[in-house]
Amino acid sequence: MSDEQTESTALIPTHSLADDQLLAISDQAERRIEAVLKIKRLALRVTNPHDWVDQNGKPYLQVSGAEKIARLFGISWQVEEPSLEWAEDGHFLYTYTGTFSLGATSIEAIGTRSSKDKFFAEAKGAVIPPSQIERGDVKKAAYTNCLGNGITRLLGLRNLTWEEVTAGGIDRSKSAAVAYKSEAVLPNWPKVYGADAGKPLSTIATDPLIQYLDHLKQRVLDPKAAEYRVSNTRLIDAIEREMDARRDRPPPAAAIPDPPVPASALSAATATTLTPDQWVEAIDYFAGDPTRNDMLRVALTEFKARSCAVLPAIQRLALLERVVYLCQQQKIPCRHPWRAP
Amino acid sequence: MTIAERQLDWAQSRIRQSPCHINRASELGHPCDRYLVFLRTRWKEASLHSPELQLIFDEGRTHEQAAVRQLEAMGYRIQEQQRDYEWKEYQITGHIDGKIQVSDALLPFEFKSMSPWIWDKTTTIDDLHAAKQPWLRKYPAQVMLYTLLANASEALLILKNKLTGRLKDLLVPLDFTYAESLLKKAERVNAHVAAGTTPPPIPWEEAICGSCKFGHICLPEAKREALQFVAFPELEEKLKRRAALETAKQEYDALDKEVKETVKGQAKVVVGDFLITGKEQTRKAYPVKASTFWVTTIDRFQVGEGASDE
Repeated sequence: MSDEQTESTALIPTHSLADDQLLAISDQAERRIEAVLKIKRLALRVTNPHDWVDQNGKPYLQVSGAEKIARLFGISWQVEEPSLEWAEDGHFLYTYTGTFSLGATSIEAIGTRSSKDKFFAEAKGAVIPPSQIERGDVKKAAYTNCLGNGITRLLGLRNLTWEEVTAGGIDRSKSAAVAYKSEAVLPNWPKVYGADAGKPLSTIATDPLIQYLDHLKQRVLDPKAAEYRVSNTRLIDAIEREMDARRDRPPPAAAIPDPPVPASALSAATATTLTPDQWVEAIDYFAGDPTRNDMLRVALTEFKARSCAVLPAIQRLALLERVVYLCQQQKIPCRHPWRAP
Repeated sequence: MTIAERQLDWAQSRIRQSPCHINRASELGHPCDRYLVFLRTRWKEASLHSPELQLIFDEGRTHEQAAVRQLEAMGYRIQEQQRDYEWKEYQITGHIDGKIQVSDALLPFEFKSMSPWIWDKTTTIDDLHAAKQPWLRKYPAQVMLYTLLANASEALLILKNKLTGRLKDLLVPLDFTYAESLLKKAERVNAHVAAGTTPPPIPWEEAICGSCKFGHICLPEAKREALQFVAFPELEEKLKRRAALETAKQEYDALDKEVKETVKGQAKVVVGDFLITGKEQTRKAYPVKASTFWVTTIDRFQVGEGASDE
């Protein structure tokens, strides 16, 4: 009798997040997209405006909110002992590394904080010497940074827009707001950064920015560059923030290239010849230009129609999220974006 | 800056890290030896509590002072307020809130103010031992150690409902077994402090480890059960239907209650097409047996434009 009852009432996990390869797109993309949307809605549900900060116009989830979300989703972690590195000027940097997992899916995340951060190094306009900065405060901040990074990256919550967050019931006006007084710039070293040396990060194209990020990550591990470790780590943070912000932000006017794909190529007759990369470029290009919403709609619609063919080649969940978001913005039905017409 | 913002700033400015070189009676009830050792050896590295929590601590002190005045006004004799005790052998210190004359006995007492729902639920010292909130679990140990430190055979735990102002007193007799376990714990902590070692972390417990002020140096493995997404179309349909009927049910319940209140005491009455009958009934009293049961909460998270149900 008990067997029969079990059979009739058991809940059968379909994609327990335990089995979900969230970061690797597969042929189950449709369910992944639904899962991503559910994750976002659920996550927003357990946070409140105090868990969010308006950071230069972008919503930033504080660790208080990330921990609530971790409890809801059942995120486990193991954080390792931190490393402490000293710079010649007396400043120091704490780095925590942790493994964050949700069932069978695990990622590594890093959290860093430097005594050079304005939060520690400045008070009421005055500079605080590193010797007077409490090491424990920097250490704790690095730990919470690691938790926040791990939780949000594991669930794909790094790039929400205020539209999404407010749709989830969070009142933006009740969240604290912070603005960076000066924009992060690349060091003025033409030998390393070429024509981009000294330029604000927001004006640099994405591809070279990714190259600089890789370069900096290698430099941080290089013992010969130890004296630059603190500044390099700060720059890595700044570039990662810029990359996070970029996906939902139109590129600056000066950086808009020529259309990567001729408008005519987006018509039904020739669209099948486009590669996934060309689709990505086309969508990003038109999404970045508010005057070309008509072409964005064409690109999205055509992309959707052919997604069965191109999807397996696409390895970025972020792109799928982006397309769903843009479809919603453009009022294009996106419940089943990957189904062929 | 609003008053509310200024209050938080003020509370923030009053948060202090206090040195701790000894076992505090108020902490020894904590279930994690590692935490107790960190309190002694790495107190400086503890995360500071929030300004909101500082305000709650302040409220506790305000309530305590008011309650003591009230007890005195009621005719109770209060002595030895905030008297310090130290037990060097076990490196334990504590200070009692006072001693209160009850009948012929002068009993040490500890005062705690609490939220109405916790106050309602707390009727015995066992309720505190079994509480979900880790800070409540420390109260019995605190009172027990005060009983030992004051060389008394029993002590009073006086609980105040912060909303209504009602007091509740729990008489806590000296429990030798429990007291012994606390002293053993103090010995374990002292041994680690002397040897410069730390005990291993306890298995992850959300209520304790999730908000531990030493989390960043303890680095316990956070183990949680992953949320499961299940496909059960029939159940999903039922849930949707249930959600759709929720408003109607609320309206029905409100009207039903209103109608029944209106015709209460009427044995037979016709209103329009409705025959309403009623009679007085007696409810039999029976004791509710203790049992374990499952509580299900259904909360819909569909929000915003992206949430289409089709």
